[in-house]
Amino acid sequence: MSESYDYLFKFLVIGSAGTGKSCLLHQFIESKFKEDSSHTIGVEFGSKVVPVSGKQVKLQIWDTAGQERFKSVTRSYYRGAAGALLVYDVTRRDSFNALANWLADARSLASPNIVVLLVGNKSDLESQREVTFLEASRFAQENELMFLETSAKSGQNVVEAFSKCAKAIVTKIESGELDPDRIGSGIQYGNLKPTRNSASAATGRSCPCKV
Amino acid sequence: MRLLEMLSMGNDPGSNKYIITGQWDSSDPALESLNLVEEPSSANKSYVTVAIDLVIRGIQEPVRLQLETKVKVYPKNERFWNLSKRQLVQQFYLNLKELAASDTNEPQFEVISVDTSGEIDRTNKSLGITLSGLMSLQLVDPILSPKEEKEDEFRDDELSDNDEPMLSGTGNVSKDCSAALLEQWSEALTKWTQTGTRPKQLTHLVYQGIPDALRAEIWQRLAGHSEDVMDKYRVLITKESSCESVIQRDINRTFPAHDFFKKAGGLGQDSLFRLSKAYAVYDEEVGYCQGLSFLAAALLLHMPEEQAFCVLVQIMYHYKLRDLFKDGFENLNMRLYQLGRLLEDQVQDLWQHFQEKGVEEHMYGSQWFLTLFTAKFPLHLVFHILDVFLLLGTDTLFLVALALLTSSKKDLLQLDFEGVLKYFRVNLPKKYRTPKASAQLMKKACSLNVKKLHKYEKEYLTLKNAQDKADLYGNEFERLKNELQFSEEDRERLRTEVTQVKEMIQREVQRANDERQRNEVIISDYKKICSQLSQRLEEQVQAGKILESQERICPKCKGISENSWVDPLSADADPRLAQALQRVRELELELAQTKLEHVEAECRNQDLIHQLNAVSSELQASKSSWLNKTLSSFKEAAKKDGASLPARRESKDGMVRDAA
Repeated sequence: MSESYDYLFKFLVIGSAGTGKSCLLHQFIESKFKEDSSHTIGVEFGSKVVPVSGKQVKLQIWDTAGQERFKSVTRSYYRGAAGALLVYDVTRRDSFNALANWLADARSLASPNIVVLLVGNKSDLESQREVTFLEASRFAQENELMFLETSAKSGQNVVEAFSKCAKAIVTKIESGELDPDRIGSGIQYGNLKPTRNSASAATGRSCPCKV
Repeated sequence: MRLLEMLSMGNDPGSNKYIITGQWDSSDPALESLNLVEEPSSANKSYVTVAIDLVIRGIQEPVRLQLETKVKVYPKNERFWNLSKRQLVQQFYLNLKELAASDTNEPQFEVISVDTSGEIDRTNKSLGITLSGLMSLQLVDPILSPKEEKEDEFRDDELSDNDEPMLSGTGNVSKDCSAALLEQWSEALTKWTQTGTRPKQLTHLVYQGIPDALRAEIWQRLAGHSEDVMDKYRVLITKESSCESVIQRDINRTFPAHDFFKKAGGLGQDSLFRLSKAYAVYDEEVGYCQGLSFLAAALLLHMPEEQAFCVLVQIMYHYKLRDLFKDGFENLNMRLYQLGRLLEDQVQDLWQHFQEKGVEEHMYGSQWFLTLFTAKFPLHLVFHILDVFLLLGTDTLFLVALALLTSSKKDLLQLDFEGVLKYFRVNLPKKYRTPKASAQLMKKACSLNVKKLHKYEKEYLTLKNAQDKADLYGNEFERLKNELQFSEEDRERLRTEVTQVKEMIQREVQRANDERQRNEVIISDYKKICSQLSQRLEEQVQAGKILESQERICPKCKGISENSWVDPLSADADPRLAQALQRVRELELELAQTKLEHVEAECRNQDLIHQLNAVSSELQASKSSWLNKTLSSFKEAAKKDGASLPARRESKDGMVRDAA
């Protein structure tokens, strides 16, 4: 691919069926709301490069099926994910109640260090709201998650959600809390990996082994 | 010629279409001849002519447009099915001649002739008509209106180069079918009805795709169905299901691009909901599974709910599609393994490319298999795949998958991981937007060879078995390791206990020895005292004797001695002596006690030594028994697997080495 980036993060979008996971991903990648979205069978994949704290970060995002029984299929995608968007629907309490389970899965199947951002989607449907911002914030705090309310329809906070999660990972890498070289960290260096002198940068880009 | 009871006429809001809707009474005597129909086959022979008189500005005489079409007549108890209506599109050309200008400014025309494009459509289209109650004729097909088609095409063209995936449920299904082909089908069907078995030419015909008009019937025939299930359906739809809300959520996300399923609460969504729910109730083990609704919707586009349900049940049970959904998708994993092996054997370079890029079969194949390719591909391809699937069964999954991969090999080889996955999501379904491309794909699919599937299945099972065994050994190893650790801890514990006991005994022995020495000193002291005392006694006795002898010599003293002489040993005689005597007695007593204590201490010492020996031997015994146990469990585990695989032998060796 022609895009250049500093890091590559493996991301997951998880949460109950019908919470708008695919629409979030679509909005993030295409900047469009997918009006006639069909439900996801198994997994879907998408990727995008985002600027995060002066770095170019490529996100490889696995959008998983929400139905409980697909967990045995989606399980293999959890392995080695660096970040996850845990999605619920602000108009559906059951999707909020299921969060603890999803979170436990993410931490046990992916990695205990996975950076999780809680996403309350469909914030445009204010009149049908069943889960308050405060309540969800509390849940996020208790479980040490970041939290945002989004609307895949209007696009509100969608890019922010992905960027914020990516930013947290970059911060953790820079503080040394996360080691990108650890196997299964879900992080890879990109083709922009800093080189020792700028003269070799050009060759280094086309062939990282020369760095 | 009967005049239709006109229902409505007018411009379709939002488009430049002019819609005329009419219906007529089936009890009309003019339609009597149609009512006599008994056999569905003879129904196909009926034709009706529909004439529409249009008054057009500028033409004085009304213009008559005539449509002649074959009709299908359903028995009265048959539910009219919206979907079995076939679109009939005809173009009319008016040859006009301008008349000499009259008083008005507008030009006036005279119709010379009315031509129709009928050739394309005439013989191949049948128009669904029911006599059960209403008969409605619409020039505009409600499922795929020409306007929609145009819009779709436009949208698709516009999108062809961008990244938007194609919507689920798009694509025009061609209703065209040549007369020659229909002839072949009719022959095949007749033969099929007569013999009760699939006629030889059927395979060839189905490979080309079943004409859309015949799909409902052929699908049901191919699937085979039992009346029993159809009856059950009526009961099932009345039952409640725990997954109703889940189904409801998915219903408006199934074929969202298709008009029939577009409207929430519309006919299509309602049927799809009932059908999905009925299946969830019918098949308790699988229940409702996301993915099934696409298949159900594809069936519903051809036949009424009950019949769709029967075919769905057949596909799930008889064609074993439900196996894919069972036991945590175990069967799906096997299918994907088979697909991987097919790719490895038949499209080596692509397989190699996928290996290098990290593209695994489940990343694209899961959805294909779980939905029978219904979720992403254009409908004409979806239906064609179903045609072949109902004919050949599960092998079709691989034929189509392999054809898809082979056909796109060139493109895929150029792409990296992300590119490949995007290609599967966006480009691949778009590639088959034209019926021609999809027909070519199916032609290719039907020509492929997947005979090795059975071999791969066996391979998978062997591998799986080995894997399970390896897991089993791994577990066993883990268990033994734990046991070993436990035993070691136990041994350590015993060892410290023994040391403690030894120390205790040593202390005890030391104490006893000290006491004995002390006692010995005391005894020797006593002995000394005793001997001193007896010496003194001797002296006294001696002195007494001297006194006695002096008495005899000295009468003076006689009296003294008679009166005053007392036994020197008697208490009165000398209080000091008496004291001494008393002391001697006490000491003697003490000596006896000490001796007794000494003996007791010796006994205790003896006991402790015994105990020490016992503990030592116990320790020895426990050590050897643990070793025996561990060894024997290893042996047992080894013995269990007489006919061992190399892989397992390795793991066993590993274990023993580790355990050692």
